[in-house]
Amino acid sequence: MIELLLRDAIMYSCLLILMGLSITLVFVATRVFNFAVGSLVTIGLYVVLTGVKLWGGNPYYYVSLCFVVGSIMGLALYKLLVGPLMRRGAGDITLMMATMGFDIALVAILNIYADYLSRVHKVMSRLFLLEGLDFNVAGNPGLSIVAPVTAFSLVVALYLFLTKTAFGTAIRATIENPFLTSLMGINTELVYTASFIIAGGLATLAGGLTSLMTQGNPDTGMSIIVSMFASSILGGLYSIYGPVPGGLLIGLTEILGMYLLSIWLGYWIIPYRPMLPLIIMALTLLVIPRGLAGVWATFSARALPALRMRRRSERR
Amino acid sequence: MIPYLSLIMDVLALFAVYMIITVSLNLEVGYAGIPQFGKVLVVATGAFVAGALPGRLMALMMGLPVGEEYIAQNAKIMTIISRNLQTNPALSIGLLLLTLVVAAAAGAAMGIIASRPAIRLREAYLGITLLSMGDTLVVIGHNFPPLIGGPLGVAVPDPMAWVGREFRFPAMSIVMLMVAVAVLVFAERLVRSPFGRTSRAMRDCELATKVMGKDIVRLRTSVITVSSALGALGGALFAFYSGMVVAAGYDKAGWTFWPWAYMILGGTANNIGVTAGVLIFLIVRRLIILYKGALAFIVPFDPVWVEPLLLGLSLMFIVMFKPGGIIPEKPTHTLSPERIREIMTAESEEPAEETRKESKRSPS
Repeated sequence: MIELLLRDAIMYSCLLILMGLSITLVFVATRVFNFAVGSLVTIGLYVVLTGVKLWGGNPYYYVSLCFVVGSIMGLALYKLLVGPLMRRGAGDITLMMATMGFDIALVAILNIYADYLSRVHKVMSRLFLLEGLDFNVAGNPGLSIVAPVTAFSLVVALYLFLTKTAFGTAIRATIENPFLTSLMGINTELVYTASFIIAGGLATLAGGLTSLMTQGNPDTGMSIIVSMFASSILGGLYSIYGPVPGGLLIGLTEILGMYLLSIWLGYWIIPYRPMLPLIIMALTLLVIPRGLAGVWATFSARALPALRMRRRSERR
Repeated sequence: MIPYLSLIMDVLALFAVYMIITVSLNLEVGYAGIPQFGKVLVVATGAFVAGALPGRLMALMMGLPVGEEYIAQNAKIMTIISRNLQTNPALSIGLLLLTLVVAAAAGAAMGIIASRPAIRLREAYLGITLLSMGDTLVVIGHNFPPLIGGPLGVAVPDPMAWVGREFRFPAMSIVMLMVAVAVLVFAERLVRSPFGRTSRAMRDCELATKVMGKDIVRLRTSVITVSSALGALGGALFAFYSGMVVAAGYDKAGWTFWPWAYMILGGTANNIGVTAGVLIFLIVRRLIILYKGALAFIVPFDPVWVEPLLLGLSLMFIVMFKPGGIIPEKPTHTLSPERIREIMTAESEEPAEETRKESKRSPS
């Protein structure tokens, strides 16, 4: 039982990592908190559903298509809405609200699309399950391997892209100081656009993978949005890689913690699952507002040099 | 009765509820720059208090069960209670007032709790926290039947039953409208007070406000407290009007984002504009519901999605093309120029009489 739960928890954590990366990438690059990530995830679910039901084949074919669709949505979000508002000097609150409007409109469109799928193509487009289409590895769903591999390789790819390529360096420079970077002749506008494109792709890709794990519905993304926020905040909103430990911890506590709580307190606790990431998030903000990344930064700045000094003195 | 009266009264009641909620939201967002994305929390608090408290108080007074049986036998118990309330106007009004006071207090407490984790941090953190906290109460209300009956909901005693069945809804609408106007006047006075000016200063430049010796955390907490109390008032009134509280009815879209849309359409940080925004959007929404059947022929999809689509698009388009709203914020003169001159001349202790007369003569 516990192995199965652990497997599910890891799959879920990997998806949360990707969604959290989408949030923090946009936030560190543009200082915009993108609420639309919920519906970008849901788009992934519907891309896979559409592909599998209308054209058939392996769901994983369409997961890569998800990245493309998500990137286009991210581009549209930046070019049509966030970019113009940022240039006009709109405040944080306005930008957040604008992405929320984008999200609400997308959810409405997804609902309309779900109606279209069920009416015209007779596809069950609400509360659908695609788990059965996944391949099997020794009795385990393929996603239990694909999700960690995808999350790991995407994080590594993002790391290599940001550290080894010229454009990646430009992105990091823009994150540090947009004004100075633009003085050095770097097109910060391009950097912002790229961050939205990558973030959109990541979120929708994660959504595509989610379709193989849970029931899909036009509000699936919205229903797990608190877990995504919690992953980003626990990891540290100002750290790109923060969601890696953040998502892992949130996913594990949400599934394993809920299991333990239900044994301890009874099954009535299960509907309160959304409270768990919320409580973690609130505690993080109260105790370590900069998240795990902040803790690590303090630790590496203070404790590590001290440790090294002590070791050196011991050697002498 | 006039045929459209009930429809008009219904719109007026909703207008009053949304006006209270949106004006209170405007206090936070418009005047203080607090990203309140979780208004639904305090509205639900108010409604849940109205669902849980007055009925039980009446049951207690009349010797009826208040525990699990109160929820299970809700319809039966409520008939007995309303029969009592019909003949007792004083008790009805007392019950209404008591519930409103308790709802406001509970809303204020809830607002403080929800904002506590992130009140010291940047806007983004506060916004995320408030948004995430928004749904918690609904989750509890839905899954914990002893509170407000879980998924089935619970009936709310009717404090206006004594005016007779025919006039019950109009009477309630008028009471709500009176409360809404009182809230508007209160909000307008508040934003012109030193407190309001300080919160606007905080919105415009937090650093400068801090430098002037103002405690940002305390200021934010006070604004959230006042505004949450008002928001809960709106929720409680809505529960009394509809006579029913069901947890699932308190969703983010209806009680956070629609009020946002009303506010930014009307004009953020302008109470009159906000009121206009509520009226316009409310009429549009009513028309959509009224002409759902006709809309089905115009739009190629189920017309229930027109409303959320309109909400999302209007949130985007208003901030893009009309960021100030239809009636943008105006600089508020807290004192008239003449009055300022009067004070100045009085303070400089010159032979003040003549200058004062002069200043009255030339109204510049």
